[in-house]
Amino acid sequence: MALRIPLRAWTVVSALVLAAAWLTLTWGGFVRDLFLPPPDQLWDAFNDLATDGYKNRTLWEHLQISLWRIFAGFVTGALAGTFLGLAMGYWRGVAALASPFVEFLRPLPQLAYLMLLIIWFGIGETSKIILLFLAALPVSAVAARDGVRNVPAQRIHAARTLGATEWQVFRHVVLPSALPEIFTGARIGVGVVYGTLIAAEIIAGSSGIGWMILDAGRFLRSDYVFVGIILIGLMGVALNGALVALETRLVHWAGR
Amino acid sequence: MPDASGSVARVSSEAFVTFDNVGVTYGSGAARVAALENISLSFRAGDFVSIVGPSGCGKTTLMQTLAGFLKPSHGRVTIEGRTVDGPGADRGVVFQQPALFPWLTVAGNAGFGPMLRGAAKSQRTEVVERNLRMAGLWDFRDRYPYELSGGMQQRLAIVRALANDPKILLMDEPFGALDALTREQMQEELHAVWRRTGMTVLLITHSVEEAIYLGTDVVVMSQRPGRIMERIAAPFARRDERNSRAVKSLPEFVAMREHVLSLIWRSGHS
Amino acid sequence: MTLFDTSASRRTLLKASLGVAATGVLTAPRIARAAGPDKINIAYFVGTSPTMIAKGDGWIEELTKAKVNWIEVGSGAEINTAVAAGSVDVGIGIGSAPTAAGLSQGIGYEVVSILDNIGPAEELTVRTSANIKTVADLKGKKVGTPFGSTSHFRLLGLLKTNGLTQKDVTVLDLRPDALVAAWQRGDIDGAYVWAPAKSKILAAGGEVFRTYDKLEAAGYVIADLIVARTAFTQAYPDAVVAILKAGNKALDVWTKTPDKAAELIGKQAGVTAAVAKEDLLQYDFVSPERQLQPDWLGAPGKGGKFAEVLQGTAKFLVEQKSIRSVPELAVFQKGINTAPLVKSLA
Repeated sequence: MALRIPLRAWTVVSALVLAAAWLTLTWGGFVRDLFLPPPDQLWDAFNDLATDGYKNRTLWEHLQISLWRIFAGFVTGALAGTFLGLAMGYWRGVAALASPFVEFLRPLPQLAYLMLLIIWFGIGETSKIILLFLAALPVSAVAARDGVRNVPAQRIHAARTLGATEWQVFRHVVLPSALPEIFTGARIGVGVVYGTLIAAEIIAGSSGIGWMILDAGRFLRSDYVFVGIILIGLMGVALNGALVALETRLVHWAGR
Repeated sequence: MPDASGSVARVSSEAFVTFDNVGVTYGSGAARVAALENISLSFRAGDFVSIVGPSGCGKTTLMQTLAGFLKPSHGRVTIEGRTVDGPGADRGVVFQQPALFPWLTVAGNAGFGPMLRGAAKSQRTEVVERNLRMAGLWDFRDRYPYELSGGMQQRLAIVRALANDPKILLMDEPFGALDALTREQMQEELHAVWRRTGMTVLLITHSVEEAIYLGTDVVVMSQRPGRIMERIAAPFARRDERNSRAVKSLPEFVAMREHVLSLIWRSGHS
Repeated sequence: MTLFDTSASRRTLLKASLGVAATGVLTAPRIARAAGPDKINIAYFVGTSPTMIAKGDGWIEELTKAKVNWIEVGSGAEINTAVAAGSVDVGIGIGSAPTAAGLSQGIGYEVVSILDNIGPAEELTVRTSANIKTVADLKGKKVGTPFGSTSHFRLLGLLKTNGLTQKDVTVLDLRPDALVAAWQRGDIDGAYVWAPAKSKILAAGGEVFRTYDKLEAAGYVIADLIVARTAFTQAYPDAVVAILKAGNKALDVWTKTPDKAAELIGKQAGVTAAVAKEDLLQYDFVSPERQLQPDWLGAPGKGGKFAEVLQGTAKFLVEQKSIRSVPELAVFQKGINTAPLVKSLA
């Protein structure tokens, strides 16, 4: 307990130092707004975006569209990845079949195959969501696979001696045992999907918060870029927080 | 004093479990390791068989062949005349680490076996309640395993194994991780369960005292490759007097303990 | 250094060129007369433009006696960012739209020459089968263009001058290569873009929908420009003059011997001489002499109409929320420096 207060104080200190540096550099006239907009300009930019929107869409529409894409890509990718990973962990044959592709896809920069997705799936939502899907899938697959492989052998033995069939072992032991790692994979997956959002929104944009940042960046509108970054950052923190909350509820026993 | 006559190959018609010339080897070629050699052993229903021996003598391997986790390289293991070819609900197993299911409550763990069998809910709750009350865990039924002490966790593991009414209970160092006091308490509880149910028990242990105190039969194994050195009939488990301190200081108890210890000592330095 | 106000770096550079002899601490490239830079960072587009001859034959290196670091870019926005960061000294071929944005935001560069008047070289192409005959026929259709480009500016101008909004026509942001892919898949019915994407689209069931003449008359003039970082021009005026000289010479090759030029340019751009020539013919390469007329950049100190074009473009970009505000005309007039161009003709 005694340790917590100073730690939190450090967080406050670092935030204050950053804020002070920001104010000094911008209001002190050391840095031009092109490079770092001052706080008042950011606030104006935010209000401006909130009331007038950005290029034919309100700010909330941009946010909503991005959230929907993240949601659709993440949920489909994480689900497919988890099922694949569970199968890979449980049946060596599936692992042998799927591993090369998963391991190949995982580190691949999404921009590398962006063009192909456009050619194959067009410029609509499909290609964007598939891009996010492909970003989430390998992460979840690897996490689920490792989750299955890391199930303590004794736990499986215990279930077998309690009369569990192959399917029951999977359903009642392997699946719940792998759940903590599946969740960890999901959290990493959200991060990856998040990082891929901008790449996805490069495809025939004009909507989404990622596209807004990209487009504002083209004209060096640093204020909009900063507002977009702050919004996308807060959204990420909220999303991660929601997942952590879900995780502590569903796998409260993890690590104990 | 090795007493080979009474120990090896006493396969009788009323045998419940038999090990018939069982051998287990790991690996192949130069890396080949023989873990067990020429194990022939049988016991009757209701026996409490303790197996002791130095570390690495293959006690656990022996148990695993009976549990069905491991197929012997030679010979066969039978239970009620049928060859063991995999794990089954007729053999309850308790490990040194309780291996509970952390996502299930105490009641959930206790009722895991009946749940797998698809037992009716009412019957399940009845079995769970009876067993948990017996083990003093009823008040903790809605807790999770990580909220229990080590002794309580192990008690729950035993309860879980018993819920299936197994024909035999296999225990691999079940009290090895517990403190001395809890350990003695658990020994008493295990003994009580055995007396009450008349169930067959195979107990693997490091503790010679525990083996003699609980077992009707004490099997002493040699250093790797594991062989049976001696099988001793121990009278203490069937005594009604359960003052453990008193029993463990009886001259005949001490003599038997010293005999077994010297066997193990010699085996470790041969 | 570059993060801070450019006046600071300007001061440092001034000190560098003046104070070397005095202090002897700062190292300057060549202390003797006409100190030139050691290295020039030039951003350029791969495409069919006469300056490619100057690049291919090493004329700029020869004339400036400096090492040239050629940096290939894909958009004017990249040049803006790179100049703001101080990593590009000269940008060849930047569009008038990003330049208007850059000058409005105080990026420390000046327009030193016009490479070409884009004219019909960037034009709307529509799918023949979509039967688009009037601008109103575009309603409900999807049209792609690279956002932030001169083509984008023209397309939005087309909608505006015809009373259409982006609610009527879906305007999509697509890079040229993605535009071709989307076209071939049938995802879009129109594209506003330049060669070679334009030629590929025309070859795949597209036809030209002529817009440029009316748009030019309505003030939507677009051009490709040469910009130079102000601090660089002040420190090394002769280097900028030399670069423009190389450009003039290359333009001469194109006007006098088009076939020979097309071959040289095609080799640099990675297309056949025939394709290069066809592309080149669409551009109006404004001669240095014409550029100095009041219709274009104007003579030094006099100012020409092009400052108004840039301001008009900037006004449009503000409406689009691409930039925050439009500065007064003087900023654009100051943002055009024709002194090196005059010297390049001497």
